[in-house]
Amino acid sequence: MTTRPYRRLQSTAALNRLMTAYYLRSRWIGRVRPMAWVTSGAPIEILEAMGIASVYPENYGALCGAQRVATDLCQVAEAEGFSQDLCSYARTSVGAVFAPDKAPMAGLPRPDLLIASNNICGTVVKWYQFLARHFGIPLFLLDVPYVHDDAPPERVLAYVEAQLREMIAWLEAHTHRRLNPHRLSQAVAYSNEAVRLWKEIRELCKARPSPLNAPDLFIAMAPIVVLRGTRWAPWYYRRLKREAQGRVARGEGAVVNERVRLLWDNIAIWPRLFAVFSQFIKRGACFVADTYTNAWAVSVGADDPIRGLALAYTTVYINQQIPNRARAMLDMVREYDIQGAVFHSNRSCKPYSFGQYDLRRILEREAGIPTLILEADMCDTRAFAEGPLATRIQAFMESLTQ
Amino acid sequence: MPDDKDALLARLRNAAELPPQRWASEYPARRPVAVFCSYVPEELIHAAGFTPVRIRKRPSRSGAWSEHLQSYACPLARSLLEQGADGDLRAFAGAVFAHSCDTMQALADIWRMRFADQFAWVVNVPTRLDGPHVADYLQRELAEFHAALERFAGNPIGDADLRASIGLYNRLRTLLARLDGLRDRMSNAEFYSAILAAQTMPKEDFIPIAEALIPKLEAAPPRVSRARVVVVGAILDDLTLPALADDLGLQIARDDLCTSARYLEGEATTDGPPLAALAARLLGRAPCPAKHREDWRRGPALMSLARTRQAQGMVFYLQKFCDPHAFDYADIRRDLEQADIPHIVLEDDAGPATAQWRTRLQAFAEMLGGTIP
Ligand code: SF4
Ligand code: SF4
Repeated sequence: MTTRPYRRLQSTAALNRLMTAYYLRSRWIGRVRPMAWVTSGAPIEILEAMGIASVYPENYGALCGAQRVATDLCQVAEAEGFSQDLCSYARTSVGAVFAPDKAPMAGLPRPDLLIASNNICGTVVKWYQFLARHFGIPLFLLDVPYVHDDAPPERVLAYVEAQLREMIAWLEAHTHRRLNPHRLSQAVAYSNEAVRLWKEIRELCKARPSPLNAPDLFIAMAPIVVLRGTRWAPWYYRRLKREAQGRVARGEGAVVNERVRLLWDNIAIWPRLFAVFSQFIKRGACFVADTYTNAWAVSVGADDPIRGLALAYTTVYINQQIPNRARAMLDMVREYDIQGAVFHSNRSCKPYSFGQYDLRRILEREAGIPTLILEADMCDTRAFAEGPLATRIQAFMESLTQ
Repeated sequence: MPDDKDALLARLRNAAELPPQRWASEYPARRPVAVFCSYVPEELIHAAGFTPVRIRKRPSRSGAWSEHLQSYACPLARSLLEQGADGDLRAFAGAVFAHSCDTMQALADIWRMRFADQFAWVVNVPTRLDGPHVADYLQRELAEFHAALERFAGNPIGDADLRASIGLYNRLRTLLARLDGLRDRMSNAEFYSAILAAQTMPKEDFIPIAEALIPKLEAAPPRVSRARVVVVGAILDDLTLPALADDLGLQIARDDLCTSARYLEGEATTDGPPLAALAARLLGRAPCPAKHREDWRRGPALMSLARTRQAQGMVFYLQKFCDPHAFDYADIRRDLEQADIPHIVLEDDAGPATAQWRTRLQAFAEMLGGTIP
């Protein structure tokens, strides 16, 4: 047998072109437009509609992680007094700010403005406070209260909506650009189209065998994060969807001999992405669903875009209480016919990782599936060792396939 | 009842060191509610007829926290969960969280799942403390808490009740501020006994003790110390650090701690709508590191504290895995280096590391100079 256990995606070439162009453009676009650094949960559609350019330090952190330079950059931050226990995206970003010579593309282009939203974590609040002081530039914090209920209460949505309007006025004052309502509708439409395609792509993974595996989606998610609100995200996702549909029609799985269907929780282990997943792939296991890329599957109500944005950005996955996450996971297990769940206990991301022990018990109890916890980190290779991870994966897979 | 100074101080120390599992037998007539953050508006809990009691961390016993939390959770969160799981809070009517950091946010969820049959509430205090919309949101959030407490207590909480509680807390905070001004009339351990006791005792019991104590302290001669320091960090759990400072002749001239300065600062007005007054107090006091206010720079604020209190150095007392404080440390460190203010970091993981802290603190004290009085 000489067949490879894994099918490569043709559309990745388009993705690479797109992301290269995105980063190239970000090198010069700041000369003609204001440049904002934004968090992954920032309402980018508004910036798009105002012609404000943006880059994502978190995505850059993932890129540094995948290129295995994050640990070095983290050490630069640590020498500046940032604790090794802090999120490794934040440390990577801080390291790249202090030592651009060690950073891919010499770091991100210098920002004029900062937009942070704590709908993903409190880390970004502190991280962006640092950036604001370091660069001496203004920061807008969109404060999105965490949803400790089944659904966000009205007072929270009203608060977020009011701040979105405040943010528009703030951006207008700082950039002397006006928000064009037509462009906002357009950005929301692109965003929704990308989200719709992304959802459809993820749903294609209900097929047996699944046309895609979670690491494919981890790589494919970059545009839904950084190019949401532009026509480029749908441009790429149409290609990816076509390819996945083709696979489904031909009965081709991402994992050539798919025998086990799994659920992944938390951010990828970027520096060892394929090393970790190949442990599963070689045993016929495919991650047909994950909670991480699901986080970008929220569409914006288009009737009242500001209200729609408030709802969408309040209900992002990790801004919701653990019981809501459990419900989402249980739904995935049912809908995707999942036989086991793997939790990446990610030292970097406390809001995503705390609660996993309860979630695993809920899945074991209510869905009757086995679970595995992998203690690691999304970027910092000092925080874990590959050997023990491989041993644990092997034991888990053996118990699953017996 | 003996009420000489030492007897009063001893009563405070006992109260400060009273473990939660013995609280109910000490105050049998009261209904305690556990409080986990200085942003919890205790006045509302008090007005509902309960006694708010701040729960601090203690050295781990059962390790029961590890059923729910990873080892990279801060020791405070681990300990609170363990105390709940070990049944130390069995006699408490409920628990109240306030939104602060990611770890507390997760703990609040985990707590409400684990202790689903008990009253537990999260006051979702905003992260941003400025801007045109925050006061309105926080008032609505407090109104929700108010309604939840009414349902739980089974009786209404009127404005008059609430004003009375606000008055009581204002009285308490005035006394704590006066004690803060008398730090040099007592040992560090005595001062922090009072501060911690104020958060664990019924206020009605604490206030008369403090009122009797203050004139006696005022009459005492000021103490001399070899050097003065500001202590900066999250929670102060017990008297280990203040007592170490005493041994080494260091005076803690001021602090920026959850269970001290951030608790005692600021009063709420008693005229006008009470919820608005409570919201204004929470928004107006010096922000905790998990919060954001555009105009707030903690480094300069701490340096001016050090100047006004004539402190020569700063002691960072940090909880392991505590993100907000770790970020602030990196920032403040730069300011301190520029201003030539020496500092050290003491880290707390599994509980007081007395021997190690003593060595480090001693070296620091020697570096600051002066002789032990
Ligand atoms: S703490 Fe988690 S959500 Fe926040 S920036 Fe880091 S990885 Fe992202
Ligand atoms: S602020 Fe720090 S010490 Fe307090 S609960 Fe959060 S992580 Fe723990």
